[in-house]
Amino acid sequence: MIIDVHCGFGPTAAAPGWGSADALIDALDARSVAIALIASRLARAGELAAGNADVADVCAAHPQRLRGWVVLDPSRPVESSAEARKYLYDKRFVGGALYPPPAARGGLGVTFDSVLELVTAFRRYAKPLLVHTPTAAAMQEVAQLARQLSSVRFIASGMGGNDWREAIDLALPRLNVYLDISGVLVSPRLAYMLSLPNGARKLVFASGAPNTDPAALVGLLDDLDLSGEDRERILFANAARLLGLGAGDATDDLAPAGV
Amino acid sequence: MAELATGVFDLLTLLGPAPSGVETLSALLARHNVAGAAALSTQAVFFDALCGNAQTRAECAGSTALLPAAVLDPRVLNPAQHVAGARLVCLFPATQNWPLTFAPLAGALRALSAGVVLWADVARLGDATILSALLRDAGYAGPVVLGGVTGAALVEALAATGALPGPSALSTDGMHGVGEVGLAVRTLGPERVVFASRAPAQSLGAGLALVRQAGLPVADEARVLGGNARRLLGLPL
Repeated sequence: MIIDVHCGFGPTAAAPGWGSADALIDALDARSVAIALIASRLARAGELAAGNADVADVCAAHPQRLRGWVVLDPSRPVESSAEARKYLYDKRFVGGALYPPPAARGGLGVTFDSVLELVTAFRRYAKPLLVHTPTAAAMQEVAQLARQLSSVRFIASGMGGNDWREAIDLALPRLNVYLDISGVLVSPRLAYMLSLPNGARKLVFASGAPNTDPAALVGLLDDLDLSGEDRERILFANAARLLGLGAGDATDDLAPAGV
Repeated sequence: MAELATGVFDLLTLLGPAPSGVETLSALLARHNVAGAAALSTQAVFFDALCGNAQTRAECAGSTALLPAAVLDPRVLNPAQHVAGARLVCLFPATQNWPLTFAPLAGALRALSAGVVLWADVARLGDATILSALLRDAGYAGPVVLGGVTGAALVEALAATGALPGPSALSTDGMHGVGEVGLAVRTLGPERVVFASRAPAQSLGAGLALVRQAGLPVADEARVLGGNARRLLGLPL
């Protein structure tokens, strides 16, 4: 069983069905993904309302298999706040998601200063915040936010990309930061994380599909000599506990339960 | 090289940087039941092609499962001499930071033997297009494999292979998106997609999983995972 904490929703040239709920479910079945948490690729491209609404619809159609991330944009705080109010009291959505804007569109990146007000207001929903962290610099911003807002659980998506070692070192001291395993397909980054105290408890499976096939991330785990327990933690147990998606020991959570 | 004759064959693996070398690579291949691989030294990519290619030959000499590949670096004098004798010659223009519109490259391509398999990293948008034109102009009729492609670069490479003068294929290193291996096979045919991982720099497990997830018929999967590479390289089938 796999819980994929971070999938995109929206078609690509190679995966035209990734914008169709039924085709997505079939693809998840073929990869043993029981639950996928999806964020709209359309919303990431700037169409916040339309994109988040699409995700709301498909999650409503498949509540046992799909949950959503509400995409937020630091460049558009008023609209983002409205989107958060609209969806984050709804159990279809597990939390909010922050991404840097597409280069062509411009806008504010995800930095401590640019999102502090947004994330401070976000605390009222008592839900996790997923932040795209393709570099160590991005992880630095998340670590700073996590230190400032200790009641918010952050999921850093991408493990810092090629800067993974520095990014992991930045994230690990923060009890309220978890890392999803999406990002560059190099097993040493996972080996390094697993060598650190409590490293296995802070990892959650994520693919970043459709840009990366979930099968690739499962294959990445096959490069490692994982214990059965650690493999289960990464594939689903940590996510189930963190996001309340299934049976899990809440007392085992490393982070404070909230203010 | 009896072990190269059957089973999975990885078209592109790496030796180095130190301490990672033949032993590390061989253990990784064995872990995933990969029978053979073409390998090249990271020294050839990142430092000096002449020294690196010599190192590749030396390290592969003691292995029955590794076929030495060579890096063609047009930034040096007489680059074709640096790859003499190699069955697989590799270009890394983006990694080595030189443009394909580079006068010495044309001469180097003309000097290549037609029996050589030319592999090129065309992850940078535009490179597949330019390379196909260069190869036509150079009259290079040997097999060409384009690699390192995903997303838009994959779309470009699929189109560019149609313009290549000789036999052509795509390698699967880089194809990490959902459906990309399947798209390549549907577009080019199962005999023109070749498994490559760039292990250990990239995950061998991930690379294999992506091909196996493509849902190919058994015979086609076997072609992609080994048969096509062995045919291109003139290895026993």
